[in-house]
Amino acid sequence: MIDIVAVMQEISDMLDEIEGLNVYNWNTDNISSVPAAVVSLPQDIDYNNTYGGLADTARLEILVLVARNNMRAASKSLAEFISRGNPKSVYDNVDSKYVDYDSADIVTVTKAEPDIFRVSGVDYLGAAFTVNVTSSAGD
Amino acid sequence: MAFKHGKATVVTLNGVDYSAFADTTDFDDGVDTHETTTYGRNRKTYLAGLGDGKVSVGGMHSDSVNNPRSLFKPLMAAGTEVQFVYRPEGTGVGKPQSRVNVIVSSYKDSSPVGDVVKWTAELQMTGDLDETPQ
Repeated sequence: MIDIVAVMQEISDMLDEIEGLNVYNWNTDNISSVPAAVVSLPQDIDYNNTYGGLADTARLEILVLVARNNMRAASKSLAEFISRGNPKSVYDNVDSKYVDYDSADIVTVTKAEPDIFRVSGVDYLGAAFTVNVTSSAGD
Repeated sequence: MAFKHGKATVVTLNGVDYSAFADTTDFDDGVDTHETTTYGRNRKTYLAGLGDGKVSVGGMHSDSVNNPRSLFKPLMAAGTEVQFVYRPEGTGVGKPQSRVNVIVSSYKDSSPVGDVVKWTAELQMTGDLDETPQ
């Protein structure tokens, strides 16, 4: 059974390990400083994946934003977050292939989609990471 | 009269409730038929024979205690006849239940790169089928 609050908090805690990243574990529309990561509420949750309703899956998004005033610097900055094998890699810091979770059985970062994102009237270069989470009743 | 959702299903094998790891059960029960058509008939006739059936089950792989792989595979390897219990409406007095001895005839793991590890198994019914309600 999925505890979304606990899952979002654990993912935020993993992102907090990335040096210099300002992490929000709610759907904020007020970014005080970049680079920033916003862990949003799930886009959808599928309940009852096994009998008894004990296994749920959720799909949520992590939005990573960097300053856009200098596109060359912004691109290099964002590239560190969307790469793998990099200390700032979102994948390496979040995917359950590399980190253990208490609130979920499986956390899979499936893709990153770079784009320009507007938050409270300000344009940022960023990437939306899709994260699939599977939680069961445990042992 | 009300329809029932499959999410409430309870399934056990050899007394072990593995419902938490299961998401599909096909309880396929049938009876042999033997043709008795003779001259002068316009349609075929049949005689009912022996009953038989198979159960197809499946779900998600887990490393938890009593996970399906650790439950099904040893039984299959040993060829042991064990009881399978299927409760399509869950557990409760008066609710439907099917109980039959089975032999685990196959077990399959599937590991897609983009999805959870899944398992399926086939159970061959052997002997009498008891469908007395709970």
